[in-house]
Amino acid sequence: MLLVLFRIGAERYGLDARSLVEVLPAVPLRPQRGAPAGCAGLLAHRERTIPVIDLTLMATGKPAAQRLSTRIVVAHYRAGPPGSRIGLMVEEATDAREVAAEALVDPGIATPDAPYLGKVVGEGDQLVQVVELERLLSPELRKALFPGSGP
Amino acid sequence: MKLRAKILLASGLPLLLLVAVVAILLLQRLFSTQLDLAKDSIRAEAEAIAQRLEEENHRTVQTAATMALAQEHGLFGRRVDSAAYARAVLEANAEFTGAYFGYEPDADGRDRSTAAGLDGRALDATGRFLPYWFRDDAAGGALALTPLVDMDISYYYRGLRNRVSGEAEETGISLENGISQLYDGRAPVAGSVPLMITEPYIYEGKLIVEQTAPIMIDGRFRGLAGIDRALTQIDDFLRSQRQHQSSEFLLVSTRGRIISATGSPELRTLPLEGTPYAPWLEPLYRGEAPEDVRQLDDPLSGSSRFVAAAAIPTGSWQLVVSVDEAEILGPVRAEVLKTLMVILAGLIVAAAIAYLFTRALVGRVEAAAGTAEKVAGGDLTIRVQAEGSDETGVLLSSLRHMVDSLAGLLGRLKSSSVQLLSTANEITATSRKQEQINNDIGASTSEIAASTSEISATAQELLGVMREVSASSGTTAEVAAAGRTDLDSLQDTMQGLLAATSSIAERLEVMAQRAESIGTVVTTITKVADQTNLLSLNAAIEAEKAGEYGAGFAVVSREIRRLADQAAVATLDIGRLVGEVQESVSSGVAEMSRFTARVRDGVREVTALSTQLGTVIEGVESLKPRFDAAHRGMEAQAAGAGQINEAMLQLRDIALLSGESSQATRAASAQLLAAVEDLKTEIARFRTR
Repeated sequence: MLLVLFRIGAERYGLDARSLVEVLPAVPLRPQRGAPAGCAGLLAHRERTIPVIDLTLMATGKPAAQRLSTRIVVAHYRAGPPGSRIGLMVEEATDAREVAAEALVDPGIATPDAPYLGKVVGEGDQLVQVVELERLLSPELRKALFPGSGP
Repeated sequence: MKLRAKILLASGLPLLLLVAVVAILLLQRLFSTQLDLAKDSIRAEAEAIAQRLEEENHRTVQTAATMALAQEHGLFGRRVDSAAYARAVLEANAEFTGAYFGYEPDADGRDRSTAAGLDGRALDATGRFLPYWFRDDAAGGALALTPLVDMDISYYYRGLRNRVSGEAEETGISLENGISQLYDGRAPVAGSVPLMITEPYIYEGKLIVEQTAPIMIDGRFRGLAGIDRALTQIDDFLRSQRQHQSSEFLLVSTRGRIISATGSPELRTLPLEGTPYAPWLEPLYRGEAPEDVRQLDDPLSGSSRFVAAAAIPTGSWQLVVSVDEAEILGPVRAEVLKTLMVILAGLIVAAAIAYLFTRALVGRVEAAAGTAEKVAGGDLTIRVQAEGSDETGVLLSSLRHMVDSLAGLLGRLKSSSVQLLSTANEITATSRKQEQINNDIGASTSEIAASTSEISATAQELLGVMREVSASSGTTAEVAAAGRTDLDSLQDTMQGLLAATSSIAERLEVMAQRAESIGTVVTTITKVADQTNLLSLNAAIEAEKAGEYGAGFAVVSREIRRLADQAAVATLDIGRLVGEVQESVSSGVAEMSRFTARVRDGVREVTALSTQLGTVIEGVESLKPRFDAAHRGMEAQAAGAGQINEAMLQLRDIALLSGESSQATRAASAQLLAAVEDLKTEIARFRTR
């Protein structure tokens, strides 16, 4: 499978390319007043309006740095209503790697505060951890961003 | 632990332990003695009653034996006399219910001849002589005569004959309820002549026991003599003899049958092994029971009873007396309890005395402790109450003496400390004043000395300068003239330098502009590389979605991404270099503009200097003669100032020394003051009357 790589802090993470729509430069977002924490704003994308989550803000509490390599990854959000999409603002989203599905292993540490962290795979001299899109949003956040979704 | 508790413990505990041990031993002893006495009384009861029964049995059986003896010695065959004799015996003994003779069939050879005057009721149908006199209850107890019956199946006759002829006693005997299986053939009455005491049996509502003796003539059994005795009232008799309220009796016959059971009359005539009392009676009947009074559970009521047994030799009967446990142990326990109460009462009185004594003693020690504590806390106003001549009284009076002495001592100390305080204050004030004066002197002399040394130094310096000035003012004029020529050529050189620096600054400006335009190009390249990277990423995503068909495309997109990254790295390096150049150039420009300004200033100053130098040269030449005169005056002044300075330094040193010593005095007096204050505080702690 193909992982699109990015960083949160110093660690590397990956998103499954098959669940992605497109990688965009960090275009200015329309800030949404009163939006829940972690929501960076709204993005106009191919005649849709997509909520964008700042993953760095969600994981570390500090917003993503404003650099050229900071980009917005548009993905299918299958936990929401059918056809819904979500934008993820991530740092250093400049590379993709092909990894064998068998090379992915369970990290062996439960992370109840970050349930979206999935399996890990060795990439060069670093480990890359897969971010599971379906478990990314807490039930409250999912309800706030996708009001039509399930419980 | 408090003193009171300690004293009580030390004196009371061993005593208490001793008393407790003695009391326990005493009570135990008392209990066993009382119990033995009670047991003895039960045994005595059993033995006394057995003795009475023995006497009656003995007299009855001996009467029968006497009647047999009369037959053997002349009466045998004299039927009329014999019948009259039997009647006389019955008449003479009210406690007997029957008296009789019984001959063997035709023993005297007169069965078929009728004796004149003989009552026919003394004979059976065959004419056999069997006169049985008895008290007829139906006729109001009048004496009646009838022939004996059941001779061949009864103990009184057949049993006796069996014994005399050496056969087993019970051969041919028939008896209701039978005899005990434990019967061992023992004789009812010990002795050379076999005497018979039959098993008591119920006849016409009465419990009858028969005593018979054989009539032996020429060694042959010719018949017997017998006495009947009714045992109907034996239960009442036994009860009348009892010495304990709850006494119950069991009487066992020769052949192991119950004769009397006061607690349960229905057991009468039953063999003992068939009764509930078999566990008590069997060992007794076998002769295996211990002689001691035992404590056993009543098989019928289940209550615990004290049991004693006594033998009745005539008849080989056994009497058992049982008394309820409560009746025995009740008084014994009451006795023990009474003794215990006396001991406890004694202990309480002893404890009360010990407590009162200890309280009096401890009260005094506590008073002494309280006094000592108050004195330690500084209170000397208390009065100590001292009474008694013992050690505690002595302790309290010593304490009173101590408190009084302390109060007096403190009074004296207080007045002394007040005096001491005022003296110390005076010393301190005096020494402070003196120190102030010394300091003033020191400061003044120091100032003067400083001033004079300054004057002296200045004068010396001035003298040197004047000497140099006067020496050099001559040559200065010549040098100044030469200097003016050099200044002119310097001015020209400075002008040239100014022109060169201006042209360098201009070129640097041009360089800075170029570097800026290179930076713009680098930014553009970076943006392009970024876009390329983004495109290739999206291409890779699309290729992944296309699966197998996108594989080739994925390779291409990876290559593009790699190239874009290289381009980005290269542009990053170029950008960094350009930045450095820009920085150097801009700092160079600033440096050059500052340098140019300085060169300009230099030119201006050189021009001004040249003008002033001309004026100086003219002045210098006119000064020289005046310098020489001033030089001489100054030499004299410098010497005077030096002498004053030395004198002042000496004076200052003396003042300083004096100041130090008065400072030491003040420090000492301050320490004294502090010590006196401490003393005062300490004394103030004590309150005196």
